[in-house]
Amino acid sequence: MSSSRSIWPLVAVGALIGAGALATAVGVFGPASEPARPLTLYYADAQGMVLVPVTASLAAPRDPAAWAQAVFERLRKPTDAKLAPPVPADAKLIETAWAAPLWTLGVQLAKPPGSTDERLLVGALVRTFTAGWPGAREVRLKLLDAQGRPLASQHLDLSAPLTVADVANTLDTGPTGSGVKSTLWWPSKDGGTLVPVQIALTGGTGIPPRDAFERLVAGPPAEAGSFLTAVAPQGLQAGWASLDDGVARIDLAGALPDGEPASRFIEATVLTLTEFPDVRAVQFLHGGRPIDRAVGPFKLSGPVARPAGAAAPEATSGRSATP
Amino acid sequence: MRFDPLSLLIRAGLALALPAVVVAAPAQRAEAAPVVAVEGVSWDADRQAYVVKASGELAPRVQRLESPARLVIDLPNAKLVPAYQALEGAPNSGISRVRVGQFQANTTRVVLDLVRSIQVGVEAGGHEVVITPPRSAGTDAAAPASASVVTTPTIRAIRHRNGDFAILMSQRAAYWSHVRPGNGQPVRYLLVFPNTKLAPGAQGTVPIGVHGVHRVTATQAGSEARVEFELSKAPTFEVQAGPQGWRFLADRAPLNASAISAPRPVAKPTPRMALATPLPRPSRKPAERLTTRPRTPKVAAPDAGRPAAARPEAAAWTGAPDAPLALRKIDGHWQMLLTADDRFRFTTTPIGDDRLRVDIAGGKVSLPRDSVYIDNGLIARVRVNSQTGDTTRLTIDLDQPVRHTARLLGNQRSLLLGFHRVGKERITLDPGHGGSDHGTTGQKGTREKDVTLAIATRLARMMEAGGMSVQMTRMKDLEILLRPRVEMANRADSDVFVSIHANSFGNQHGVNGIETYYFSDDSYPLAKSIHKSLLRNLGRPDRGVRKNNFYVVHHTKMPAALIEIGYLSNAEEEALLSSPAYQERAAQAIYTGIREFMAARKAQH
Repeated sequence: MSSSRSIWPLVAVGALIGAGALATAVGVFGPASEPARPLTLYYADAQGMVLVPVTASLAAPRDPAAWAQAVFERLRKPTDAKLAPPVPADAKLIETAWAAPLWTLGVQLAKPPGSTDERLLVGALVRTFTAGWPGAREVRLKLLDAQGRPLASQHLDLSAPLTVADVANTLDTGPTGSGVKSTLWWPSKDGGTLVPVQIALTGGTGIPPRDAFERLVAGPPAEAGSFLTAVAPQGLQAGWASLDDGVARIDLAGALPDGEPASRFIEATVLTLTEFPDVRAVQFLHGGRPIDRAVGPFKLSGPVARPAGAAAPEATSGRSATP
Repeated sequence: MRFDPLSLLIRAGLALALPAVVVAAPAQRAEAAPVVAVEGVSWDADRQAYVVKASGELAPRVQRLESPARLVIDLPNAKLVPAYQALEGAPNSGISRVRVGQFQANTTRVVLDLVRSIQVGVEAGGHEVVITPPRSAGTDAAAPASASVVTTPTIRAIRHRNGDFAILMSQRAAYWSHVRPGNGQPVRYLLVFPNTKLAPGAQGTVPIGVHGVHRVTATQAGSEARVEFELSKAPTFEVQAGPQGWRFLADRAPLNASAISAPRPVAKPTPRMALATPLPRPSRKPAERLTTRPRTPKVAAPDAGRPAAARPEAAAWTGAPDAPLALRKIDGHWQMLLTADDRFRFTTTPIGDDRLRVDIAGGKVSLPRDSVYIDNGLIARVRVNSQTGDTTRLTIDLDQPVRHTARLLGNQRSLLLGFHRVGKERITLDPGHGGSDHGTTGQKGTREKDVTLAIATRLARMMEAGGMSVQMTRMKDLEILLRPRVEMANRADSDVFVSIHANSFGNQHGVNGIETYYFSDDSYPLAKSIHKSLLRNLGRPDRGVRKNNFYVVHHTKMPAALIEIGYLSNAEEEALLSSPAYQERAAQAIYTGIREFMAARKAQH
């Protein structure tokens, strides 16, 4: 009698362990998650001009609907205070369907969007969902009003699936004409972000990356609006040196300060030049000699490549990028 | 130099493509549509609309005639069962009478006698046409009567000839496409037409086996019609707008037999530049790349960008030297080329403001007796009145008064007719939102739909005073979808389209300023001109001239701009936008921008 009584605790523990293992195996504790992996989320800059890619780590469920909800939640709450949510705080994701290569998303909005609201919402969802889910290329978006009725867009054509190509994320300074069209990056005046601007490079030296750099340091075009500012910090001069073996060399003169303006300059230059397929990195020199120091996150002693997590080159359209 | 038919086609542009497709149109029309019986017209009190019922699908064509003002709705391939029918107009509808008769052997005509200018909705669907007068008549006597047509597109047939697959539709509907790469399997190119019917006779799989196409399969999947081309090799193909839908132009090279039995793995094919034919209305906007979303491509006018004096007319029409009828638009006016089978003499006689009679003697112009519809806002159609011996009498129905020119080309077999619109520049103003769609709302309750209508109404008054002809997509608080807005502008062949909106950006209440959007390159000067004028006159922050595929600037076929006049989510701009004085200033600034654009365009020409 006493021996049988002493066995019970062991039996109970064994039963608990077995039940736990079984429960885990059948997913009682919820769907199995993949380990956290990088995901590019698109938020609005504070002025609502463009979408800014932010690389985050997300332990997302394998189930498409749960993954979509998790991503949607993240888009409502940017971690960087300088950024704005492209998804309104009161928006709900009430329909999701995944059938390669198409996501279908039904988004309920508490009030009708203005065009900036809609442009950023649609752009952020299309870009984030196509970049983040394997095999996704298109997003069909249904907007619904507070009562769940279809909300006919008065801005974008949402009747058909959208691809990244349909959701422009650059300012555009007019038709290409006969020039090469490329994306140049200037800082916003509030210092919050770098803004890609599509610009036609006409005339010039015949070396498009050089033309792009010289256009960059000349300052933002009037057509891009009044909220962009010059790229180079005061007192710093920058000139084109060479392009060899995929490395563009930029020669600096004057004071290269520490701090955000200088790191913005480095980043803008690298983003602008690596838009061209034949530029993989940028080497910064000072008076023709290598710079043995870091500016912000950038070590200038060697060539600086396009930052990981930066937006992929937008579109260098028109003719071939380099002669 | 290598002969590349595709690049040649692109280079030659519409100058080559247009005549060919125009000529194809009548024959295809005759083949595609069976004659249906029209039971008559009745007033439907539930829908508050006149309904024309028939035994099959109807494809209405709408035109406006003057003296007296009437709206004419022709129903091709239709026979009226009763000999004639007339109904009194609904009270306060602006319509005094509705008459139905058999206009031509295969065309039933519905005529709305108008007592004042109104906007009428004409919608075709199923076996009926619904004609909806306004609930209460408009009061703007200056605005022309107009109508928009909304219908469910139908793919009637898919025809194949020498690698040219014509997808014949009741109206050209937008599509989106998938390319399914091979991985050792044939490449499939899928065109999906949302909300489109596939006629039963068009369904099924047709083996082809030439021109790089194994087979074509057309299926109805719910509300979508799907047309899939199974391609046998790395395809080079184009999708073009055709006279009655779309054309899929396959590789013209002979199919390699080995490619059929053992298709090679291929990389993802890249559809080449898609060119669209300009029918029913050529656009001045440039060709677009084919992408995987619906669109109605806009195309460059033949010889666009070249000085008029440098355009060799003979070269412009060489794409179809024997085409009996071709059409093009150059520098804002239309040209029609009529070609006979022999040398001929001609006379032209204007009949009132709405017809031009052309008598041709000596050669035969092989148009069908049935009408050839043009519907470009200026020319309604071309009819053959009589053809006896060596004399052909054509009547060209006009939508508005024109000044015409006519001359024989050097071969004495082709008559070049020019149609120059007489009078005012035509502007379509589009006040955003309306009706139950309030648009965005400011913190103090200012509604976007009210701001846009107030500014557009002021702007319309200024334009009319300045000698322009103005059409508004809405003149009161009505909900109108985007497509009818665009159709209204396209159908009227407007010179300029301007859409007015007010903006918002979530809870970012500090964001303010003016943005102006465009889509096609030839709209950029308009957008820039308006934007500069707005900044100069209103002094608000500059958020740039931006390219985006907003529906109304994407699908209109004339220079088009969408103005975001300010942010209702910003308290300062909400106060400004709700102020009549500021609305007047904004309207004046837009007016100045449009005038400057037009002056610059005129100076260029």
